Amino acid sequence: MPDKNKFDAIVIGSGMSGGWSAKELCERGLKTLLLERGRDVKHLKDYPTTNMLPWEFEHRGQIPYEIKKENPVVSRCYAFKEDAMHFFCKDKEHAYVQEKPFDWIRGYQVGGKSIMWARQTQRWSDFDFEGPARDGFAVDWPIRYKDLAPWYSYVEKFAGIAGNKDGVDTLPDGEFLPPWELTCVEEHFKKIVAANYKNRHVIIARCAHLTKPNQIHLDQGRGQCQARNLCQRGCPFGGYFNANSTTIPWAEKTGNLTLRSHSVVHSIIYDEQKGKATGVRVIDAITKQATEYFADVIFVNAGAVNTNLILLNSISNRFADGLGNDNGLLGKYFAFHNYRARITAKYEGFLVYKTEQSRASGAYIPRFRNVYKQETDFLRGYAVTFDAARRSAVVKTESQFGEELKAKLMDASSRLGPWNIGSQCMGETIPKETNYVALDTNQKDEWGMPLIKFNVSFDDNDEKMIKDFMEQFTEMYEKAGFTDIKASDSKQAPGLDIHEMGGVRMGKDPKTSLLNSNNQMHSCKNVIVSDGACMTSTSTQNPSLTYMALAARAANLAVDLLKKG
Amino acid sequence: MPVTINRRKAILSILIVSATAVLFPYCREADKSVMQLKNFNINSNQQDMLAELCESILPKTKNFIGAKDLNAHGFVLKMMDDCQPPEKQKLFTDGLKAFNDLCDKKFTSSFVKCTATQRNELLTQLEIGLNDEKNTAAQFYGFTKVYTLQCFTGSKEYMTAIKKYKIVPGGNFKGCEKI
Repeated sequence: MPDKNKFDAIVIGSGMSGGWSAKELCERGLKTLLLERGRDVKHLKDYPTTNMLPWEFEHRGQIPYEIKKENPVVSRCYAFKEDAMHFFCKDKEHAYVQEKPFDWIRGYQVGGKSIMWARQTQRWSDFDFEGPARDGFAVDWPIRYKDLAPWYSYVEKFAGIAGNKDGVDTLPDGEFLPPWELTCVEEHFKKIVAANYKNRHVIIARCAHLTKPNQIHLDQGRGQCQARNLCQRGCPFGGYFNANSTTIPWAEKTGNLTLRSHSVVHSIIYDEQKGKATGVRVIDAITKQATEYFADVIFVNAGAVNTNLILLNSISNRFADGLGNDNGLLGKYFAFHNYRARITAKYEGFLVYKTEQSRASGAYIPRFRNVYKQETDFLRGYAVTFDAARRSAVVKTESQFGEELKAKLMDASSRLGPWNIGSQCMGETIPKETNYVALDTNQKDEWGMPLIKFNVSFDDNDEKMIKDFMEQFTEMYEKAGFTDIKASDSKQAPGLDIHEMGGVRMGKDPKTSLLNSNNQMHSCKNVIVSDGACMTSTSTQNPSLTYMALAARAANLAVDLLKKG
Repeated sequence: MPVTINRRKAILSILIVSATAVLFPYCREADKSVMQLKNFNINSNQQDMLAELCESILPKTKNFIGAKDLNAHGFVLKMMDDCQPPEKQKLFTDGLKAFNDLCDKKFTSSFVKCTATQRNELLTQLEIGLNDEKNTAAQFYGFTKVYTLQCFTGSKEYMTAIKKYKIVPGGNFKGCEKI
């Protein structure tokens, strides 16, 4: 085997979790090959729209009709706009099979979706890790909060998380930079909720923004968040966490990293005699040429769905149905977050107050349903965002034209409307065997990979949860004196939450899970899966922070084992 | 080699056209030639009428620029051409004709030649028709109004002078400031 293709470790995928795997491995002295299927995106250099002014966009941010027509799935994503569309994978270029509708949103480039993510970073608690065991679904997590807590701290300190120590049971406090402020109406809602309900908390959401950078962030070359709220373009200040500004350059600084973009991983090579994985087969995305790379340990961080795809496509005599798939569960118990329900309202109070400038976060209500005991006819619960802000009074719909209309527009900055209130529900879904991803072996893409097919849907538990959210929040909004309350169900397909998880779940028992407590495959221990695919259950927090903590932990545990020999 | 020269000329003229497009983006500076669209055509009379209609929606006033200064009709056409589906483009072009017919019927005059009072009367009537999907003239007016407003409120002039837009706000958010 040629030496130039031999490394100590290979990491597949350079996004949210892969960046952490690479950083940890390189820092621990391992020569690491980081593979990315898309193009390279260098921090600062490859953010072409980052300093563009709103009026410089040809269509003022809107996506042209032709592009929407050709790419209906990604066009449904809130962040797929003229300023960031170059960071999203187009449906047309990368087909997949929807046995049931699934909006699969992808970012095929170095940094992956960490460039465009929503930057919300809430910790899990033991109410989440103990959920499956208590409520009798999926399998028991092989780890608890205490196993992950130090790693949450570790990644928070490095990434930079703004937040307040709220002392809420369901949402453990972390290592925080100063929080953003709540608005008057958010404070008002917080008081009303606290006065009327036990164990319901309105807090400022924790987010991956440098509100006050520490030395470690300055050492990364990042600076204070300027609240531009244009993060999806990539930030010229490095004000928020993405892999491109933070983990990958840090890994590069060690001299141990080899980054290879345009590298589609076809499969993991399993050596029957050695009884372990020895490398990966890579198809060059441009030349289509196949190359093999070898390493002692392989990290799969390709993004939940593509991690499943690579493992399912890694066929050997020993593993005829996909690497590590002795129990036939690979691809199954696939889950997501229920993002269908929203509620909006107006508030006519506090009209002598307004907000000044912008912030990069909003208020947040951690899960309060079925926490200390089962109390509803559905399992688990939901977390909810809460935002209250005033905008310029809308003139568009008023029946006017000419000088009268123009005068109103000229006066717009001083004419504020009422407070606009909005909440988005993020519900835990229950992983089920019948929700799965699998290979469609009849269809291959241009790189010779079988297409992935989705068979994932909502169930009765999700429907009941939506109903409960609407009832509870209508009541809470009414108690706060809000008016024009409107609850709505987008009926969107799974996937648009962009919180896809599972298929390669962690567990205690090799008969019912794929990964052990160290994220190693039970039956192929030098393959580690530490992205969204490893998730046993889904909780009600945005998952990226947990992926980061799991990836950092898994990489360090793997190096510990390697060094022990 | 006349063929080569012609080809060179052709390439040169294409380069000039594209350079013009870059130098005079819509919603910016006036361009008198008829806009070449991908999905539907308009003639120079229709384009002139559209420019007048945009100006009637947001006229130049003594303190601030108006629709014509921003070439708003060019933006309306660009957005209709690039961002609307074929059925809406048809509604727009049908509505444009219906608008001309309506104006002609009411005032035996083109919109360009109408007095300010006549224009006001026509637009007031169309505002009432906005909710009637079958009123194609009103639908045409509706598209024009929405995009004229977007052109105006999204312009550099409006965003800097009125909205005080800053691409780098500074991160000093205040959640509760007394007005």
